[in-house]
Amino acid sequence: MNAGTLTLSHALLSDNQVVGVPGASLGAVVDAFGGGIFNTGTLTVLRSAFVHNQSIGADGTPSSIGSSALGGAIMSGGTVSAPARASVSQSTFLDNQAIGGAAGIGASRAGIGGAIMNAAGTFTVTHSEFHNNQAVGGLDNGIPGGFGAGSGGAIGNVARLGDAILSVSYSTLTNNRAVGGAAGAGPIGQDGRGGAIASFIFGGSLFP
Amino acid sequence: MHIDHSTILGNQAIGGVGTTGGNGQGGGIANLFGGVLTVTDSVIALNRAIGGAGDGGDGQGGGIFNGAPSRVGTPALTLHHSAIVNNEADGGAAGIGGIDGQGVGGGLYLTPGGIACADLLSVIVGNHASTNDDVFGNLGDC
Repeated sequence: MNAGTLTLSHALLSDNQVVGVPGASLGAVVDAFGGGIFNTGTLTVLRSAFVHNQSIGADGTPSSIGSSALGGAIMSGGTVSAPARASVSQSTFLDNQAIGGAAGIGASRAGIGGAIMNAAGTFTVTHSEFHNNQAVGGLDNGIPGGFGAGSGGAIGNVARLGDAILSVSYSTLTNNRAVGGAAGAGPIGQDGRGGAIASFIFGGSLFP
Repeated sequence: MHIDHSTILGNQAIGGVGTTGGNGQGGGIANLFGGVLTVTDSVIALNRAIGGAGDGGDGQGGGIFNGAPSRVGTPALTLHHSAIVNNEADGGAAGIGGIDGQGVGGGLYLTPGGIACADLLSVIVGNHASTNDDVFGNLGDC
């Protein structure tokens, strides 16, 4: 967790995991933010590797709602008044995953940004590689308004807490996957959006 | 969102399996709900949008999916000096008693009401879908 100023250089972050918490109501749910780093300040990453990190949303239960998974390796957010800043250069993201939680008493939950999720502020990626990352939506239960999309197999740029400004330059994104949540007990499979990158403003649909 | 001098290759968007399969939207990139996307000097190739199996979902936009207007804005896509080649959109396979989904817009799926344009230096060729191999929807000049 970085709320100040953090620089990583020539670092390897591997096999880390963050897990969300289900809740009795949406307000009590805690989403899983950033399997490797959750940044609300200023983050600089140089010549580093993020390998097999996971952000895992909690599964819902018959008495609770599941949670979303945002950013398998890095989640960058902040607030509307104090948006985060992040830059990544000459770095590699390999086999990271964001996996949304299964539905409980609510709808299924999203997996967004298999490697990176930018929710507010600026995020700059240069001369980097993204390979075999995945964003996977949670198992649905048939409640209308399922939120269990898998969006942005490598990168999700979702303006959730103010403007989200992403730039990707001189980079390669290969074999990443965005997979919608399976139907589970309900009839409808969820959407998979943006095998490499998905970008949208949160709240633009009943089914984000 | 800006993408430049980059390669987006062999990625997949896959709809979830269900009695009704979900849609796979944008095998390379999905630009939705008020997103503004500019792609410059880049290659988007060999990506696939695949509908979920069941009563098969649709595969929409093997390379790029640009969504519909919503309450938060209208998605806008601009292509400059870029190549959208050899991408594919495939419908989901039918389950028992179901029907196959559709593959629409092998290169680009441009939802009606969204904004999209490409300059004369952009190339959109060699893509495949059951409906509209290269481009589904209206692509203007820019």
